Amino acid sequence: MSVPRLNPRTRDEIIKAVFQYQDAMLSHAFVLLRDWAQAEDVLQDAYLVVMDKWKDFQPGSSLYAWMRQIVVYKAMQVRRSRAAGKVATVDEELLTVVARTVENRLDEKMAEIQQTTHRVLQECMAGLGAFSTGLLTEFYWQMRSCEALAKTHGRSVNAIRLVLSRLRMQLRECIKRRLNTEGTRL
Amino acid sequence: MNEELYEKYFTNRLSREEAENLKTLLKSDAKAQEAFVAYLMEWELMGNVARQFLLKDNVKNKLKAQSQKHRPLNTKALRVAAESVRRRGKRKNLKSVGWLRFLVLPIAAAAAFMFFFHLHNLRTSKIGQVALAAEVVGLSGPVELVREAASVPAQVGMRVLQGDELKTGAAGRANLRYPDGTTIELKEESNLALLKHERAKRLALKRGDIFADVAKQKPDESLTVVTPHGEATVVGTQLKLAVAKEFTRLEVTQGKVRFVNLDNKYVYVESGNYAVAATGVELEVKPIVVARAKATPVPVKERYEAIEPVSGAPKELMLDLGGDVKMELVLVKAGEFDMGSNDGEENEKPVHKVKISQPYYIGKYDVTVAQFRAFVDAAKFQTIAEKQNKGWTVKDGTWQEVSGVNWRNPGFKQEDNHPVVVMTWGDAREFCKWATKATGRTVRLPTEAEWEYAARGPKSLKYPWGDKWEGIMANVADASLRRAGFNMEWGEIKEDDGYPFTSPGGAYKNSSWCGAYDMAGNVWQWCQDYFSDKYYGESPVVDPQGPANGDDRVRRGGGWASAPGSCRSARRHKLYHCDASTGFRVVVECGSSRHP
Repeated sequence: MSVPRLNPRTRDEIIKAVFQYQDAMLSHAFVLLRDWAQAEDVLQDAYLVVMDKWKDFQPGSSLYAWMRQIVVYKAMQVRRSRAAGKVATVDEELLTVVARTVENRLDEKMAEIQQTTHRVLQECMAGLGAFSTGLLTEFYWQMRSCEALAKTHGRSVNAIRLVLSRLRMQLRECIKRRLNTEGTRL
Repeated sequence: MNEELYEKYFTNRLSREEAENLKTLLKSDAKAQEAFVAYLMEWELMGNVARQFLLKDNVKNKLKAQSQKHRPLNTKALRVAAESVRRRGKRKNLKSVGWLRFLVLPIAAAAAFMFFFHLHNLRTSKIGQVALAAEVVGLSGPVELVREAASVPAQVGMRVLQGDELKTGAAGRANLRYPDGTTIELKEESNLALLKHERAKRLALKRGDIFADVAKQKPDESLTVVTPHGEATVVGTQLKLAVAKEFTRLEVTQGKVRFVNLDNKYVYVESGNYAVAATGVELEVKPIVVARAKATPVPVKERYEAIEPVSGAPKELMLDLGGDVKMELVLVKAGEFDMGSNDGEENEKPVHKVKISQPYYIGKYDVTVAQFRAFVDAAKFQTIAEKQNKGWTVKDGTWQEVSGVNWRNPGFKQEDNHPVVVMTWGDAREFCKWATKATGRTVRLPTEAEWEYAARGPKSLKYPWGDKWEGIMANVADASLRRAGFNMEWGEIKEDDGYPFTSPGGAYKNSSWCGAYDMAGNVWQWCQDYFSDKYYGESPVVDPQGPANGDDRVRRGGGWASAPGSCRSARRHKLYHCDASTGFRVVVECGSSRHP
């Protein structure tokens, strides 16, 4: 099921619409910051900007691009303040390349797919056990390395990689199956 | 192969050489670009959805706990309390435009339209800006005013304009006043921004607490408080808005408030109702169950009997400690249980039958910072740690006696609804004496037997929730404490609850059979008894009161720095001094005097 193209005009419509890009916006912030807490803060700040400056949005133009611009700007602000006073450890050129790649590839259409996948993934993940969900959270959300997970769970690094890989495969299959059932294709 | 490279990018573990490889790939290889973005999307979804699953239960539990109790709302990180009172007619409103309104009166009807038009423009331009700016009218501790990226120390009399941001430090507070009489108190470690708007007051609370008394606003110029979970629009009502990390709760006591969540769903919450906005939770209006405090002092007997009927003991008891501070207690029915354990320490042996002959009430939660503050303020009391200007807390990874540590400053951040700590047994007893006077009930520390019975129940469970240890059920020394630098000798605990130190009462779904929370973990709790490791061999069967004398007092339940083994309900511990992991809860005797 595809999300219809949005063309919001009123404040309520705009606010409602930007939330449909939540996952993609979080991705835009996260890829630059590589810190979930900071990425979420950026997203929250961006929502405040939207709530305050919704009149600046030109009806008919891309709401996605407008929102992305705010998010990326805010993320860059955070990065700059984070880097202030510190010796530069981040490869600025790499970040620029990454940002450009994501900007070019994670477009509105992909954002819609991501949002749809989010819903389906919730259903698929409901079928996993607590250990699997916990492992995914530790890896993807808490960003613990496979080495750290191996130590915590008393398994080898390869075993953890294998479990994660199987979980990914299992979830990808589940998503594909459910979307096909619903008549939506990735 | 590339996936490992991507993974290293997201976890900040790329070597210089790998970073170069990634750059080259992303610059030149369209497939790699596609794969990288797909990997990013997958990463975001996996992390986000998996986290939601884990949070969902936690949030629901917290919401359930919130809906069942009446007390200052749960706060971990953010809390807003806004009150708008319907007595605005008496207030002098917006002096700066008052004279303009006065002038309007004699204007002829023919000219009225033009004048109003002019007035509107005036108000929304210059005068509007003045009306929508606030003035700093009170300060304590460090407070920073941020304007256009520049930051200056705030001062009394300073004007806070739209677009400005106020930041309070650990010991900083600020009071703001708008020209229409609206006042806002910004509490410690808070961050409040005045958003730009032509006509209305709009506030964004990013962190910390505010308390606001909001003058009546015009319907189209309502005051709005934006929080991380939604926004509440205030026109002229009496309400409380509380923001915790995972949810926002709105309670309305007068009028009606429009409450919008992040899904842009909204409800109108009317007087006597509340609503909660949180991820994955349906936004709906529910009635506030517990009776609210009355504005004027009520005689002790009346305020007590209003909650507890004379005949029969209700399951819950609410004590009014004054100053809008209350304490919830739950009924523990009389009965029998097997006290002690043959599998634990020597001093827990032998297991013996104990009969509790009378029902009693026990604190639903440990005594909180707010409740203890009510006592300290009313009785002008100083704890031993305050007098000695030192207390035991965790510093540099180990327990140390640290100068300046006391219940107000235990060495870590405490909210009002966290359990009070760093107090001796004697400090706790003084609280009980005061509470007895203040409420007209007999308030005291539980005996060891009463405490253990409330934790284990007639089935003599090993832990308050059952016979099996579950790390997610109690605030103990876990990964969050290790992260805070604590040296845990007993090895890795994988759970990470995000509370390295104390947690708010009710944060865990760990109530015992009678409905008391945190009988395992969070803070150790003082009992009335002296400690004796031989006592169980000689204690009476009915209502044991502990040895007649001794050197140390008993504490029970384990705390935030304890290993799981210390949270067994039969585990006994003794302590002489006070520390940052020890607090207490009280009991109230059923049928105790209702007169002051």
